[in-house]
Amino acid sequence: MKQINWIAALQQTAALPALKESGITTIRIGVEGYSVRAARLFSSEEAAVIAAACQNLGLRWEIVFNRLWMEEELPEMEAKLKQIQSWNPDGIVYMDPAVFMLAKVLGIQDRLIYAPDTLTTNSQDIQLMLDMGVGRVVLAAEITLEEILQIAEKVEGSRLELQIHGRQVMAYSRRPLVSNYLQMIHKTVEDLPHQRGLYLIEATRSGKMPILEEAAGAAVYMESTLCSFAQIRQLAASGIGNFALDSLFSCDQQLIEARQAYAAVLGGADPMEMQAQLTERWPQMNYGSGYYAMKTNLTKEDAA
Amino acid sequence: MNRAIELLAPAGDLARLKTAVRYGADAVYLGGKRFSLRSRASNFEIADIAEGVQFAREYGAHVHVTVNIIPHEEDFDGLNDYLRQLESIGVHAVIVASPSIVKRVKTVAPKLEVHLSTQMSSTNSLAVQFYRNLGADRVVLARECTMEQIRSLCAHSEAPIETFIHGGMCVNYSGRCTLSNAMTLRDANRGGCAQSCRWRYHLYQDSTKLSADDLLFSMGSKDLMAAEYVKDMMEAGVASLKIEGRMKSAYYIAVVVRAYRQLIDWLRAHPDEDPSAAVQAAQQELMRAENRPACTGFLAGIPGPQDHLYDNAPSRVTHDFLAQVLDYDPARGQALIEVRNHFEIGETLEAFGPHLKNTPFVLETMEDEEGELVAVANKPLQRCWINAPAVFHSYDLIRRKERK
Repeated sequence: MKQINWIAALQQTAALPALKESGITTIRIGVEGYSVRAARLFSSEEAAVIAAACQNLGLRWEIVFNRLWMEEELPEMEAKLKQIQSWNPDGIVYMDPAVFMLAKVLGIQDRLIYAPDTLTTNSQDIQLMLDMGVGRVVLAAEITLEEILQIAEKVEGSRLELQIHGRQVMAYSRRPLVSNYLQMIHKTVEDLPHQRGLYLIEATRSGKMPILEEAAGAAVYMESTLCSFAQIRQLAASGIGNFALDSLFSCDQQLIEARQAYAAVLGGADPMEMQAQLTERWPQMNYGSGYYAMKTNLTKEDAA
Repeated sequence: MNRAIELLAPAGDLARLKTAVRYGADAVYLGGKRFSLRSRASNFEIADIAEGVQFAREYGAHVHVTVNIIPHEEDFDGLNDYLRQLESIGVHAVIVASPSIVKRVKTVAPKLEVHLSTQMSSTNSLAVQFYRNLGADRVVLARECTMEQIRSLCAHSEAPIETFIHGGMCVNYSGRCTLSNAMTLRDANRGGCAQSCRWRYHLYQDSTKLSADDLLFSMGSKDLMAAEYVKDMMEAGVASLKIEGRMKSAYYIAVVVRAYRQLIDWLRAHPDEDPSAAVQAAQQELMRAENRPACTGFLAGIPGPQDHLYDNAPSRVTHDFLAQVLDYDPARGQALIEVRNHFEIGETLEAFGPHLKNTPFVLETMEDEEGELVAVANKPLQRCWINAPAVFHSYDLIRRKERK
């Protein structure tokens, strides 16, 4: 089995040694003004400290640079990408093709990690991006395990990334969906951009879907937290080289325990047992299997 | 000012394609049975598309075909043959939401123009250039751009730019939404969108309920109506103005296309005049077909609460579609119509058409094709002769101001 890169989103700098100890090999950080939907937004100064700490611990580090940029923001984007270049991260997670265009000019396109949420659902589009020089592509969430394995057969696995743990985003809007609604009903929520406790429940259902609102817009997340213990052996055997664990709606400790559990499963432990243990520790996470076994190609007529 | 700006209309079937062209669309976009979003609106077999292309050509119009799914591994089968067929029957452009399909079209069917779908969320000129480099001949912008951004983007882009001016709006970045996948197993990016964004939701903060029971949270957006920005878009150099709505009726298509056609033509003819009256006339006309509240989307900035739909918004359509004109007899001053809705003698109706201004009249006489008097038209597709106060033409339509 090839070497796997285990990526963790970071919430607390103090957690770095424990993350390293658990088997995490890459730390992914969000930075204020650079990132959206990151587990936490650090200041530029904090980012520099984290980068140095990662280097000392032998961890790689990556920055989330995943805003969609409007026309007048392009000079800001260019300045920030140059700043990122000076920080010398091992990876730059991006969504907007404009970032690729400028990264190419700067000669750092091989550090780019293309993560457009939904657009990477097939091997041909993924291969195209890799052929253009992008370093890595993150697979879309809404594909099945079977489709993931098909893609892994056709594309170099070391350049594929899959989110295996954490809440998966369902929708991304430029609109301030929460504050618009609160304004309509004459209510307020303090410090809205940092609220992680907001969620939606569809009027006829019971599932809780976290919703996040930041300056750049709002995002809605799935009602379950993706957990891949049952699939991790197949995924690891497929050659996919990069597995990401996200903690936007949890914490570093939960990721540490999850990473240890993945190691145990790959070492022969029972996946269901490990999931039961993690569920007992973190019952509010509502662990689920995402789209692995959920093919979403029904029509209205099928659904009826 | 881009005087050659294209008015691009949707069509859910051949009849609506012909309506859109007759009422003034420069181009029509439609979906085939496969590879297209809005699967329920994709009724076109290749033979239908070929007939549509021929029909459009007679009017100097183009046909664009949506190949705008975000494909999974299984979705490429048959695509090359399909693209070659589209090319061979004279389709002008395909609308694509996959970079690899952009490149594929250029190899497999190089006579087809490739228009990059709004599903790709292009919001700046560097993104446009990225897709231009891949082979896109035109880029449809994300609906999240303001007018100022569109203006600047057009000035900095090599590729022609297409923008939406009318119709339904995704509340999320188009193509970046899987609400429908998760909640109904229907893939929004492969034609199955269940519009789960428009459903009602309770909003909580931790264990505290924030939402109001009589006005639940929703992500529904009011529709776009951008008549007041058409002049700005022409001056900005936008290449094409797009109307959303492949599911909409022929009446809707006729009214909306005609309103924008007349506005664009007026602006072309009067580039230095104040367009306020023409814009207002277009808006009034559009309200005769629009059945949902409308706003200007992102064109003036980030939408606020007033631009969302939080309740089951009542229909706001101001007119009912009643009948289509089939023929006109100048000797009798009567028109043969095909009935689509209930109406009766004595009511005030209004006729309009591609070349007929809005013409109110009182329905005084109505008889069937056997010459029997008809007091109430209430049978679908019933044919009647009615009094006509002006020269009516085939495909003119008749409506009535909505009853209170």
